[in-house]
Amino acid sequence: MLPAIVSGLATGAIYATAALIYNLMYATSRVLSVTTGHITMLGAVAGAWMIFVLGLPVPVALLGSLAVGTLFGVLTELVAVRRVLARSDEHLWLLSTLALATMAQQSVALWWGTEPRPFPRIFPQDFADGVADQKFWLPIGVMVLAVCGLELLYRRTMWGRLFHATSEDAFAARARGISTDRVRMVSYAMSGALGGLSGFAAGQLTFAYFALAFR
Amino acid sequence: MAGLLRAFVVVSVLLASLQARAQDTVRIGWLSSLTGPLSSAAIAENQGVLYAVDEINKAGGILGHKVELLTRDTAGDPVKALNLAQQLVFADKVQFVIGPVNSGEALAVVPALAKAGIPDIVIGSLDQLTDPAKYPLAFRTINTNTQWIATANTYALDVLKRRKVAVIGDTSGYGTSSAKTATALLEKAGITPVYSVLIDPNKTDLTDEMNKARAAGADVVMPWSAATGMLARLLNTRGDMGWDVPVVGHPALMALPIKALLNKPSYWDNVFAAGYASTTYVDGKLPERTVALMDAIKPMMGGKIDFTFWWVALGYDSMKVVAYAATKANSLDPDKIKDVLEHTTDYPGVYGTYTWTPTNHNGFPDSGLVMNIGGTFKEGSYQAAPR
Repeated sequence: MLPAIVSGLATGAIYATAALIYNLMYATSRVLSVTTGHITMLGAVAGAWMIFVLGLPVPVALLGSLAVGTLFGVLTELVAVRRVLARSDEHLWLLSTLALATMAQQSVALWWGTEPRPFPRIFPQDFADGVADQKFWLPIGVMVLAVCGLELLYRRTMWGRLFHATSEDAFAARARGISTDRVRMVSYAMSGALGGLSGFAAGQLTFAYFALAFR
Repeated sequence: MAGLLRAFVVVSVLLASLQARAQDTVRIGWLSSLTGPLSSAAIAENQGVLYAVDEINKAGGILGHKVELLTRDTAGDPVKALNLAQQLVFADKVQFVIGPVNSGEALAVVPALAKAGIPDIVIGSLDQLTDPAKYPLAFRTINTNTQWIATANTYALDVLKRRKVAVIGDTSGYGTSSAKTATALLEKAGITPVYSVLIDPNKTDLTDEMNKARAAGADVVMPWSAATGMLARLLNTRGDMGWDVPVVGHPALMALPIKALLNKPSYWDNVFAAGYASTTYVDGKLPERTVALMDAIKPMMGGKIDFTFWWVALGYDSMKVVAYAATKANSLDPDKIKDVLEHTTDYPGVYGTYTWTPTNHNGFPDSGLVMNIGGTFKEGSYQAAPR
């Protein structure tokens, strides 16, 4: 019973973190970006590539995954969101984010391959540790960290208040001198970083797999 | 007006010359999922198809005409496969089609090709893809799924002497159908599985299912899925649980991508999968025909074979069967091709030795299937499982 609960919690944590990423992007743009899962996929693949192929140490690879996620978040905002929102109020962002997501996924498939590849152990640990295995607790830990971190951000920082203001009424926020474009860009960059971290933490459960995004 | 007329004449002459050139070749459509999640087998099969085309053309082509291969990447998508098949038939005017690679795609394509009257070499294993009444021009080179399952069941029951079977399928069309067939065949042998489950092939952890299988008293686990990620997770879970139950099932259990996904190399112990006599070492040797093809094709693959070789042999044989049928019929007429194939006995390929009859369009013999040991991959082939 306990293994099923821990396993379920870990899988649930991956989805919960994805939901936080969605929310972070949606709050400042009113866009449900289809690229959310792809950011997580890129985090896992980038981490595995940097450790196994480039031979980088785990902390460096973690930073690398965060950087890749952040870049993809920024790219999403620049290419698939900003230009579409500037031209139309319709839900065309659905198509633009889907197009970007598909391009990212197919590019990874061509480069990385279509079979799942392994993700390394982050800490030395025996595989027979059952429910104590890091593959379960890393995604749960990242989810808890993300919830607490975002809560602190929203409640205690100026940027959090700017997110709230932009989310509740972008016109009013702009009228008060808030650069809503910049706020949106920062939220997408943060979403990317969180996705990269989530993919890195979940890699041992999900493997580094190009189709991870559509799970 | 005169300009228009001149342009019309020029276009007509060009079209006529293009048509004449098209008739100089035998056009063969090759529906292959070269990209996408189902690409591993297709990429390997493509190597075999390309090599066979090259070999046939160097020997003078088919009936004196060069083979023109029209490869279309289906990306593993049945809708795309169907559209491309129709494009091949109606726009490109192919005389044969090979594929598609995956059964799910073939379920959509085979009826369409039958309707269009184009001979099709089927390389999907689902049983319902051939039917001499419904699809008279569809001939299969790969074994059927039932052949794989029957081979594995026989090994689990008669050789390993196991009776408490856990059947695990994935939730894809293939996995669901295979688990159903496996259960039906087991019940025919008087065995009711102690545990059956269908799992999402992308499920991240199989601890729950494997614990339930053990609690149900299973003494053999039989997975029917081609998803290497799921199979690796199953073996990892078994290993982490410290449960030394034999795992017997789908050939993908032996696929090389699984190796890297295992927590420990020893987790591949006590794993047996349906394989082929053509790619099984007996006393350290492979059959002569396999060795000959390997030697010939190896330079194209950078001097080493790092994927399952029967895929290559299947692609090679499928193209050679087309050449054989057309040459023997001395015609590209579909009815004459059908007649030749339906009266073919023991056609010697590399992957298998084929026999088709008017009532059976599944050419691969039961004797071509054997059981292999997981983790014994060497140059695309495997060791035979102990009998």
